[in-house]
Amino acid sequence: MNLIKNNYGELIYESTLDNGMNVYIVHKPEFVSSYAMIATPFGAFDLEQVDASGVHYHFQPGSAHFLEHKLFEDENRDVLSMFADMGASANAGTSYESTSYYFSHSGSIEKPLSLLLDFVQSLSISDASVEKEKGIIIQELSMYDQMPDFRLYMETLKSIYHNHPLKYDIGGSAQSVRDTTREELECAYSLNYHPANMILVVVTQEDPAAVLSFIEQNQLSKTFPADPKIKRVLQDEPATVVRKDYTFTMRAETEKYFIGYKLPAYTGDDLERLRIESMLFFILESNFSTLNPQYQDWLDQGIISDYFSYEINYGKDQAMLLFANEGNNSDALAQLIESILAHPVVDEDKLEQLKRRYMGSTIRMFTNYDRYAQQLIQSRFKGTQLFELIEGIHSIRIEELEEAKKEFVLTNRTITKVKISN
Amino acid sequence: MNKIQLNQNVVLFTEPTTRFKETTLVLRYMFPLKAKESTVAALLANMMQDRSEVYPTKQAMDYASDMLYGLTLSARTTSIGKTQMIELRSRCINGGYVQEALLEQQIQFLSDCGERVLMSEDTLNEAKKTLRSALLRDREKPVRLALKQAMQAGYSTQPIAISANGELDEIDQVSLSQIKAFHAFLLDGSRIEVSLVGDFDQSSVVDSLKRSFHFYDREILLDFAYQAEKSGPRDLSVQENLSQSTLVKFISTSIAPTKKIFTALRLANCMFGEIPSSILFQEVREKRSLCYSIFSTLLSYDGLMVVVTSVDDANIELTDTLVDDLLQQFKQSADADLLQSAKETLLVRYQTIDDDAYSIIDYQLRNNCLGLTETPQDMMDQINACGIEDIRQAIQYLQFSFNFMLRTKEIAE
Repeated sequence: MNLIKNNYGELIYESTLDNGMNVYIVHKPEFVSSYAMIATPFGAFDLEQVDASGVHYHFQPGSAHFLEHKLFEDENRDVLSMFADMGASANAGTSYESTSYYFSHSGSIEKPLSLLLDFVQSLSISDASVEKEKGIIIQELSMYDQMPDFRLYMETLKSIYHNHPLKYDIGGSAQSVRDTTREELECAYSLNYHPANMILVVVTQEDPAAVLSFIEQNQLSKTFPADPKIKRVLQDEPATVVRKDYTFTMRAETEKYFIGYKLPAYTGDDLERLRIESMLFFILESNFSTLNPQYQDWLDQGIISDYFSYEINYGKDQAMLLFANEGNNSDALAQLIESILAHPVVDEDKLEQLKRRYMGSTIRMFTNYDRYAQQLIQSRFKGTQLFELIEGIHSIRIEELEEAKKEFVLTNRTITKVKISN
Repeated sequence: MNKIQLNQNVVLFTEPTTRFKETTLVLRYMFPLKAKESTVAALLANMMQDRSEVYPTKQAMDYASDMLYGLTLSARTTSIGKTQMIELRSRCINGGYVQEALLEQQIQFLSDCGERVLMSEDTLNEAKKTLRSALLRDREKPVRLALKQAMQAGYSTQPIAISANGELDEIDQVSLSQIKAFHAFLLDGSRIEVSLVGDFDQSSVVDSLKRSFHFYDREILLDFAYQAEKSGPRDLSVQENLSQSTLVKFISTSIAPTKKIFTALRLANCMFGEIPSSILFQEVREKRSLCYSIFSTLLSYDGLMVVVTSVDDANIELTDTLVDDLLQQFKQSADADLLQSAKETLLVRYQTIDDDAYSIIDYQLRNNCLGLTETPQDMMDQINACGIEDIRQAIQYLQFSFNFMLRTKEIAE
């Protein structure tokens, strides 16, 4: 078990078990709250995978999310209730890049941790239970579908991507849910839930060595097949967008829109890619947030509203830049954005200001166990380590920001709008 | 927490501790909840987190908070039964990380936001736009829309029908002079609570607060908990262009949060609809796949419990009847195993209060509002002492009060 060096006084230990599972134990001796999260990199992106033998597997959109729902089922009763009986609060979530299962508790961590490991490491489903779950998931999709913010975001992704799985809702569609079979879920499970593919984070007051020993004993009592060494198959994605302009109507109170730019993906080193993503975000903050004195003018003139926001997503196989706003002046805002990003301002003072802000945010993360665990896991899934990434961001220099400006290639643009149909 | 009376109706609560990496400072102004005035309060809360006389631009506000390593600031308004509260929350990292004395600056910053708000026609107009947008966006969320419509339709003469976030049709009527007058009232006439959790020296903090804030004695009497009484018919159904229908069922509890039996009511609510093993979750979602989300929650200060779910419109009446039946069955037989699960759940909540600064502060607020001095350990003792008979006694008080359906338009036509 290795103590991870860091500048924040965090006691965090890392270990790799014999079966390949990576384990982080965060020691919080002064707190009674405990937390654990186990995750697999199997998410909504994984519509096509390939194993070590070169065999390809295809999954319905929403399979990772469907599987997340089904893992909570035990032969006798549902797992969430079993956690509740212990006083632990459990949940799970599927993103595009991973699926996580977690609980929070106080007191001895052994029982809920044992339950977490046991239920995630076994799948027991029937055709009938899969059919039953379809109704619940379809209700969940309906719930999101009637929210304009959510619909607009999904339509924007559909406007951008021809083939990339980002064009699908994480939960899939009502049709893809109906088409999902028990066999497909079992296949997805066997390929993606091997311990060597998974990361466990435990935040606890208890002695880390004792907790690790407990985890090891739990794992030694189980046998696992060989690791299929499954990998995501990256889709070929053209540089162009699918729809340059798209408008749809639904029940909404205000008109809104997204301006999206499809950027060239960065295929180099993972840590560098994440650093560049942060650099691009710093540039956006410097130019499009309240750090820019013109922001107030834009608000006063109605060019932007309080809804205005932006997002940069800099993946291995895709990259996009999104701006959201309320109103019907998308062309004018697009012009403004493009004129600014043709020559964005970067300066040393703003960089230092943003680094101070980031430092505060980082320190706050260490008391938010959910965010802490997610960051540990996601940085690892993205090919780096959390503290390496934190220091990498702190080390950003002004010269690098100047260089990063070139990544704003805005030739492939889409504008997606929602209009009111009440 | 330690209580220090700074002035009449101005109180400081502190929890000195080295456990947290940051200092949490919360400022609360409390006053009676009144229609129309709630919109003024909501606008003022908006303005408080926007700009101050000391930092008259957003850029200056950003700079000040970033020099405090990304100090976070948020202002919100909420209701606690018959009382409304404007709350400013701030968090700043512990100065020890950077060898700088940050707390005094944090106190001054919060004081600037609360006391030296930049009140001008420009900032008011911006606050109006922001509030209007926020209220419109709330209407886009079917559950929030249904809850608000239900409260206003079913309890129109009661505090619960007054939204602490204001009303769309009142925004334009608010003038700058009203804002200024209300702000003056907050500083001079509202009840003020300041809460501080983190690593600090108690006596120097008191001095710092007295230097930064202008606190005076003030006379104010506040009421909190009451029993909401329904006005009008028992059922109401409205239509919107939505793909799911939302059911909101209000149940009168007739149990004040100061009563001893309230703990049993809390456990009963947990058993009925708060945890995954609860009756509603198991019967409506898991067994019948009628919904993705269903829950019950206590509106403790209003004497109500509310059940909320969204379902296909074809199933809404079935779901409504099912919930009625489930409550009747619960009244006839409460399960001891389910009670044990509910106890474990609530016990953990109280055990972990001290692990989070906002939880510590919010727990103190609950005691302040109810005039109680119960510690989390006292609450845990009450929970442990609660038996199945106590649950049965509590749930006999539960009576359906008002039924509201927000239905999909096509089917209703």
